[in-house]
Amino acid sequence: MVALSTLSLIVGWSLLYITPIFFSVLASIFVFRVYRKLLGWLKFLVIAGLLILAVQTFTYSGFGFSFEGLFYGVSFALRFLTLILLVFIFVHTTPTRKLVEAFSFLPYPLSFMLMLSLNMLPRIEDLAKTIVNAQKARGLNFKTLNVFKVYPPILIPLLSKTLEKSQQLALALQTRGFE
Amino acid sequence: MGITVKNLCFTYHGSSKKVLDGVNLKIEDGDFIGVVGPTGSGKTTLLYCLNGLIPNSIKGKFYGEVLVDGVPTTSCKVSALAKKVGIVFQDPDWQLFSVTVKDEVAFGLKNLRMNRVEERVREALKTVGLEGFEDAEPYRLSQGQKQMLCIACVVAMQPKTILLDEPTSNLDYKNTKNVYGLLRRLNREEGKTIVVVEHDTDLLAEYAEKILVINDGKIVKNGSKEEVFSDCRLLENLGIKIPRGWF
Repeated sequence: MVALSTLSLIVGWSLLYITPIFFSVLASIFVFRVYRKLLGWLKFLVIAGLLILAVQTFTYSGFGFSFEGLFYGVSFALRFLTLILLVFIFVHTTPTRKLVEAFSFLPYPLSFMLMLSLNMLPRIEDLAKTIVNAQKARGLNFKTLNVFKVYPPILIPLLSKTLEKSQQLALALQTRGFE
Repeated sequence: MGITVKNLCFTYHGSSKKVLDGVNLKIEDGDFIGVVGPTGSGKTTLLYCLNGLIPNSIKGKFYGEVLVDGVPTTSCKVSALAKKVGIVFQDPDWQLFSVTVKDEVAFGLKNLRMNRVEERVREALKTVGLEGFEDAEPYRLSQGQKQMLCIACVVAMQPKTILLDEPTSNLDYKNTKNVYGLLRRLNREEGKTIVVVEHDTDLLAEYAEKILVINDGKIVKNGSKEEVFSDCRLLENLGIKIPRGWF
């Protein structure tokens, strides 16, 4: 009985501050209709949240279970998820144009650099997809968790191709009068 | 005045192969020139030389002279040459970088401090048939539209010469026709000089007036299309397709 009441107290406290924020963010996911895009990330988010919870719970006061740890675990996991979800909503509801406009107070070279890098992201994403598909077609096994086997065949061509294309972009900028 | 190339040799930095080897060339105003040659023969390098990217931005051993309107390219900046010679690169995706089509076309004009930016943007988009796409995102356009936009960006700066590096390599037949129709209009109605690198000799036989054949950095043949395309043996030796109706 005591344990149960302690637990409810802890959960209540930890949820008191963060929970309203968390749930309002969660609700806005549905308001902004970005939940479909969230589905792909859901597994990652749940795992990350649970990991934070577990680490906090069992390492808060030395190694071993503690209610304080659980308290901070729940609180931190919710904070983390709130932050991630906020960024997620921001990214999926704000067109690049608006984002660039918001930074137009910066000196021109800086705001231009920002605009350029934001605009190049989808191209790099497309390039990465192509490379992933090409490597899959050549039998690269993505199911192994060995990062040293999975990442180099993707990152190395991606990096070299991006560098090559960035040089071309620099030439294109120059021929359009950019100095 | 046109563009004059005198005894041009070029070797890329860190390589020992002469990509261009003793090129002499005279491009008259109002020419429509098609450049053909096997891959790696120096076609793209020649284009880069014509608008001063070589040797101003791309380093290497550069001998000889390229005169644009009588002024050597070594003595002016690439950005200054952009007003005289415009270039459309091979891959449209990596030369379009702005948030809207309008900004994309205006970018060059603003950099060169030209007047009447809005008006020129409108005119350029009208020329290539992209009216109504002013606020679209360049990256979301179709391949054909992207290529047209690249051309519009160059046309807006109103250079006398337009260089194009394989403008139709990833376009379907209809868009290819559109691009070449546009180039012909620019050439005939506005008197622009067009230099286009192209693998499809059928297209060149239809649209170009002069043909330049390059192999191993040397100009093998230079003349009217009738003259060049009737030399079947040369084309056969270089592995260039002889256009339909010429053999």
